[in-house]
This record gives sequence, structure tokens and C-alpha cells, in this order.
Amino acid sequence: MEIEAQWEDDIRIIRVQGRLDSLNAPVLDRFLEQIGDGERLIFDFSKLDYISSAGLRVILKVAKRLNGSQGHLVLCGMEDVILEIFAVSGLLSFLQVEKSLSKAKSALS
Amino acid sequence: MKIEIENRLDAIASCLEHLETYLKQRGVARNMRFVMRLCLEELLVNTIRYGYPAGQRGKIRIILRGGPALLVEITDDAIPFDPLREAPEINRRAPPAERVGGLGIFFLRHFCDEIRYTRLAGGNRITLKKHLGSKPGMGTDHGN
Repeated sequence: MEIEAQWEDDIRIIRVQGRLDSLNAPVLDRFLEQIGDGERLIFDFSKLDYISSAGLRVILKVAKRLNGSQGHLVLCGMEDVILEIFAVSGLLSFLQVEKSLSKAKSALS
Repeated sequence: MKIEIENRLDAIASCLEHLETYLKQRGVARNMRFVMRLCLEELLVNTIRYGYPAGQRGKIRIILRGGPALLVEITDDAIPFDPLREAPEINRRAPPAERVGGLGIFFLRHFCDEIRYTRLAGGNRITLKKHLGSKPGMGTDHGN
């Protein structure tokens, strides 16, 4: 798994590449500790190949923190099988998902 | 294919790579490999994390059998636990923080065509069956 973060105006975009699983989910969890309350954040998952429940838990944790602090989180770029994992887990009703990065940015502006 | 690992979380990676290679060699499509990897990972993580008293060493054997259906047999020497009967039901309408704990077994139920549990003397055996010709996810809960 590789994590890249960049700012565009006041939106932080985090790209997660490769596999997000039980072995490396703690790495992403630690990385996300820098996310401040009230931030506007996009997860770009267009290069994400795999996710398991450990990864979902990390995403959910930051989503809850941002929801509880007037922040805003949008996920984007997920291929169908990853989207299905989110759907099956029931998390789609709590998370905002957009097809592309540009749509995710529009949703936040 | 037979794989044996110790009950350590860092041993899971090599096992999942073996599964990946095994399925690739049989020309199994990527989405199907994805869901089978997911099921095996979730099961192994649960077994290693909750199946052994702290500090107790254990062995987990994984057998992969191909054919029209993939059979994955996982045998451990952990404390007796039937995830099909004893794992908490997850309520997808509940607040998310209260649901993610049981997601692993929920994925197994969703993606596998058949799950069997056998209690052994000194361990457990779970057998997962997945028809490789079917769609990886059915979009429905098998309800078992």
C-alpha cells in the first residue's frame, strides 16, 4: 500500500494505492491522525486494488471524526468490486461517494 | 495446495499470496480472486486474533482444492468457536461503530456459496465453497 497526500486549496486529497488490508490498515490509521477536526477530505481510491474490513474500519473512523466536527469526507474513484464491499458492509449510507475526483471536488466546493 | 502458518497476523500475507497464485494459475478472474482473498483474510484474522489465549502458539492449515468450485478448508487448533452460530449478527441499520466488528463473517456469508463448520477434538475446521463460474458478488445475502 502507498499513501500520497496533497492539498488543493483547503481540500486535502489522499490517494491510497494497492491493497488496504489487516496488515497495513494500522499504517493508514496512524497517517490519518494528522487530519484535523472540521477538515475537508477526499479519499481518491482510483488506484486501490483491494480492501478488507480492517481498511473499512479505518475509513469509518475518520469519517465519524469529520462528521462530528463539521468536516466533510468524500470518497471517489472506486472500481465496482470495491464499491460492492462498501455496499455490502452497509457503509454507503454513511459515506458520500462520487465517481471521479473532479466530482468529489465539486461536491466539496 | 496445502499451506501451514503459525497463529501470527504477519503470517497471513504469505498465505494470501499463495491463494492469489493458485487462483491466477487457474485463470480465475480478478474480482473472484478479490472476494476469495477477502474471505480468507477475514477468517484468518478472526482466528488469530480471537481464537488463542495470549501467548499461545498455534498452527493453522489451509487446503485449497480447485474444480468448478473452489474449496478452501481452514483447520486450526484454536479454542472451539463456530462463527456461523456464535458470531454476533450485525445490524446494518445500526450506527456504523456498532457494526464493523462482525463484518468479517458477514462478508463470508455474502460472498461464499457454502460455509461449513466442523468442531474437532482440539480445534475447528471451516470449509468455504465458491463456484468459480458465478459472479463474485451476488448482491444478495445468502441468509445462512
